[in-house]
Amino acid sequence: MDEARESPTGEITRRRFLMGAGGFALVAAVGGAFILPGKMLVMADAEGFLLVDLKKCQGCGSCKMACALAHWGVASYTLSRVQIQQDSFQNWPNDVFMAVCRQCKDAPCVQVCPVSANRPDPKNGNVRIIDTHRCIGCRQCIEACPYTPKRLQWDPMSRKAQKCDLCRDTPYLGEKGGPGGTQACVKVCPVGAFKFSREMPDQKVEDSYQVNLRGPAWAKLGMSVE
Amino acid sequence: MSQTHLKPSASWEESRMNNILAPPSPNLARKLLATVPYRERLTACRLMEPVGVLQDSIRSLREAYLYLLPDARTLPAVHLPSLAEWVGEVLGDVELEEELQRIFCEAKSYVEACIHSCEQIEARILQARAVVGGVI
Amino acid sequence: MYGYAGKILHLDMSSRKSAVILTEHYRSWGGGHGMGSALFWDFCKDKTITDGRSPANVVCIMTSPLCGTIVPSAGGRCEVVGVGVGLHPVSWFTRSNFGGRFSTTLKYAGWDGIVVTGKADHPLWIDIRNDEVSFRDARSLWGKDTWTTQQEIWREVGAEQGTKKAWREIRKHFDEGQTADKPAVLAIGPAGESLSCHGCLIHDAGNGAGQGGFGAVWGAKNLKAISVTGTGLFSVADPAALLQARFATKEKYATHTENPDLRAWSFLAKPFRPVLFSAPPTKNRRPQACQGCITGCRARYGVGYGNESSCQETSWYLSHVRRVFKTPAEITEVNLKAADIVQKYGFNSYPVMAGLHWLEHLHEEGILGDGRAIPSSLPWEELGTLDFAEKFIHALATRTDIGADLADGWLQAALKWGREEDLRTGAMHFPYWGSPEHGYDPRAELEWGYGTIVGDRDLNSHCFNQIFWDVNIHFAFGMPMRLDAREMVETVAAKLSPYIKDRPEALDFGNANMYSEAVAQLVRWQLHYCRFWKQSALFCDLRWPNLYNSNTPDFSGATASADAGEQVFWNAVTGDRLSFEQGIELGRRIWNLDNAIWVLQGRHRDMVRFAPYIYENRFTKGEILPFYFWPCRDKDGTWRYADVMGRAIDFDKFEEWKTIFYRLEGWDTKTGWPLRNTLEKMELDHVADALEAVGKLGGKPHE
Repeated sequence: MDEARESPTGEITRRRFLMGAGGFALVAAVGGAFILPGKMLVMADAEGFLLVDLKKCQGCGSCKMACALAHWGVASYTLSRVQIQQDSFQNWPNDVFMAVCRQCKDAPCVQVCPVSANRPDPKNGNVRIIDTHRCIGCRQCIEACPYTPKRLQWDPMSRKAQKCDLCRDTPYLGEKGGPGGTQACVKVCPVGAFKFSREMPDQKVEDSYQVNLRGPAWAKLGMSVE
Repeated sequence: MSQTHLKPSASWEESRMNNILAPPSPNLARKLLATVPYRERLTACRLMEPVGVLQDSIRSLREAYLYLLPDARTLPAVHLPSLAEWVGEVLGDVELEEELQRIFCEAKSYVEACIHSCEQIEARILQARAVVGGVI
Repeated sequence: MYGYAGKILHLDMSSRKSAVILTEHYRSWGGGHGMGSALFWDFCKDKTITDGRSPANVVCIMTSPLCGTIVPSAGGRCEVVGVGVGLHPVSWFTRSNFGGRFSTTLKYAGWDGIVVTGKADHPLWIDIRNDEVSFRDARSLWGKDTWTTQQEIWREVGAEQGTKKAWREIRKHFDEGQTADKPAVLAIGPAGESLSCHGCLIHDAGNGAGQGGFGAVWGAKNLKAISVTGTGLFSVADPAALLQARFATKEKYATHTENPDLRAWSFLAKPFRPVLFSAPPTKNRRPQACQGCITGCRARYGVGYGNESSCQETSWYLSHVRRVFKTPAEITEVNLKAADIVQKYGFNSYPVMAGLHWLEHLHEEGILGDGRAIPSSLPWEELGTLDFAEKFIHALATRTDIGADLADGWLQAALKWGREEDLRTGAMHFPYWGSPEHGYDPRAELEWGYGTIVGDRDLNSHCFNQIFWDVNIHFAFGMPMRLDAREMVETVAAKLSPYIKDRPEALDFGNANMYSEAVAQLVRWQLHYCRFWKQSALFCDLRWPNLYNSNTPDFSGATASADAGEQVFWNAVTGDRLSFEQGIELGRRIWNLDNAIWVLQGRHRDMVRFAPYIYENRFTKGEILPFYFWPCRDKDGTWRYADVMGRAIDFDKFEEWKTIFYRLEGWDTKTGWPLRNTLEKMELDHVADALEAVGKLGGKPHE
């Protein structure tokens, strides 16, 4: 921090901030999280989660495209905060994987952010967001995500990280997003393979966000509901 | 045929009971269980929306039976009067021909006619088998 | 330019060099087919070629502004144009189309399309990673099937098989692009390599550009595959409007996920079910869709076969399989494994469906077989088994056995074998341009047959064909019609702007109306609609147009609607202010350019004729179908669904109909060649000049 303050231009360079972050020992309030001495971050649980049904997804990628559209107003796969991986040559159900941000309890990506750009948003159900104005592009949050594929994305043009905010910051959605509002992926999915939930899934179980969303109508169409 | 079918009518069940055909002769039974030459086949097709129209043909009574068996995915598309005529002219079973013609005239829909024709053909094959043996 | 990547990739196979073409030069053509035709016009130096395997041929693989977006059932289609292979008497400049994720990925890589010219001296594959393009040696891939080829290229590009895989850098550094997706690969198999007319282009397990013989076109250029990895983006003019229109389509017009109407009328309203002739092999499956599709029509299964195959390839062998196998499970398994065979060989099975019946006929008549007039060592007695399917497709894909004769086209083989009579008797159901009949006989379903014969290949456009399905299935089951005939034609005609809006008589296919001006206008509407909205904007043929829809209270479909019409999506993506009708007009322009290319290839109205059996034989009941109901008017003008079987096409009256059609198109009625005035009104002066230079402009003295 001292080095950053000593900068003749007054700017906090990325390198200096990274170096200074190691000496951060104050108690500070950052959004919905509190940083305690010893770099421990205590954060409120998120109040919204995306659940998915891997056996139901039709692999159309509409969720990915809708996500990038709603957030950035562009058509893109890589800027989507939900990723649908497909392998055409695998058999059901291993041919599709839906990778969504888990809005983790004590989220590792929030923990490691040196500038508190990645933080819970208390005004929006403590959904974990990245403040792009603060993000310095260090990629530590992406590396910290313990899941494969990583649930945070790198935007090579702005050189910042991004993540699912449950559509809190969606200037192009045309309706209110965020917890309590619309999630573009949930709304656009033709088969109903996404569900928004207020209840936090079991954090100790890797596939706890994978649920069965196939009801009687699915069975009526001749597909497994098991 | 009208366009207001739903289920087989009671009168159909009654008439069916009254129209059990006389057992075929051994000669006819053998013909009913045989496959006819290609040039004597009956052309037909199957319909599956919106996949299309699948050209097909029928060369034996057994194939006709399998062809008309209800199938959840596709619809047999065969001109039923032609089927009856084929049974009479090619297989030589005039009794069955008349019965199939009657079914066609009395059924309330095309699908109902197919189902009842299938049942009648099945019964006829069983009669033929009883005479000369063999399996469906 | 909103909606566009901004660049088109030119691959010159001869020099192994790539170049950039700016999309803005072709922007006025919209995208897809329109852009492809314009590029073909500019890049093909010899437009008299009649065999797509010529090195002079140019093949364009084109996206649209809507590719890579959530425009319902439009985001993932891709159009292929160029001179085809295997048609008769001429392989016209033609088209094909496929789905999946190739066009989407190409857009994200920064390309609106690919133009391939020349011929390489040995097999190559193309590695596209955003703006980096490499010509790579494909000699080790040559001979491999389409699935193996794709998976080997994945490995080469660094993509692991399976899912739940880490993001990967497409080059060395993450700032150069990362992706969580597999490369999208479009490849040919052995059929294309052998230059057989059956060669098609395959992407992923089951997306195929089947018609046109483009596999042979690629094979002739020594082009084995194109792999694309794209990590970029493009701008959309009004993202909120796009999202809202998509939501409106889902809520109002498409199937309701939790309460699907299993008997819905119109293709857009149908539930997501795999489009198979046989029952799906297992409940353990998912619907599988092209990118952006709102109602998937394919499936991937737990059983390990049939993945992504749908429609025709799942039925090319079925009628023969049913003779051999007894249980539905066996029939389905063999049938879908036969579908896998054609996907792997990169083989267009469409001609085989009708063609195999004809070959069976020749075999049964003692003409085809071992030691017979048409020699064949294939085990014909085993027709219907999986083993026969494999041997048969292998022969046709590798030019062995009868495959040697059939590789250049089915009519060509028939003529070589002295079987011309089969086109008179109807033993060979190939009514137009050497293409097999699609199931919708020209003598019954007029718009399909007429539209095909004034075009370049089997039309395969289901705009009005959905009427056949909805009406005939309901008739067969004796269910009440959801729309009576009058309601149907009035609902549909309300959508047919600009030519026949509110003129329901255009849909009357009765004997008294079948050669009318109104039917000519209907055919024009379909052709022009398709050239732009389906083949250039790339709305899917099996979902659009949505002319009527049982999900809405008044049965009015999404087409041209203010909330979710084609033009709403186009404008949201591109920022244009294009009306639905202007889209049709643009389609007319594209159609006219195509016709000019056909004229340069040798087209004359005297060639525009069906096979003899269409004129000489009535379409009789029992020939294939037992009935064919279509809206018709009685003598007193009352509309009803009437059976339109039992008739032939009258040669002279159809010639008169062609004259009406040509007049409406602004073409010379004697030759079918375009008039200068017509072309100039569409700013195609340079096309008129080119035709005039070779003495093929309409209205001029000619040979």
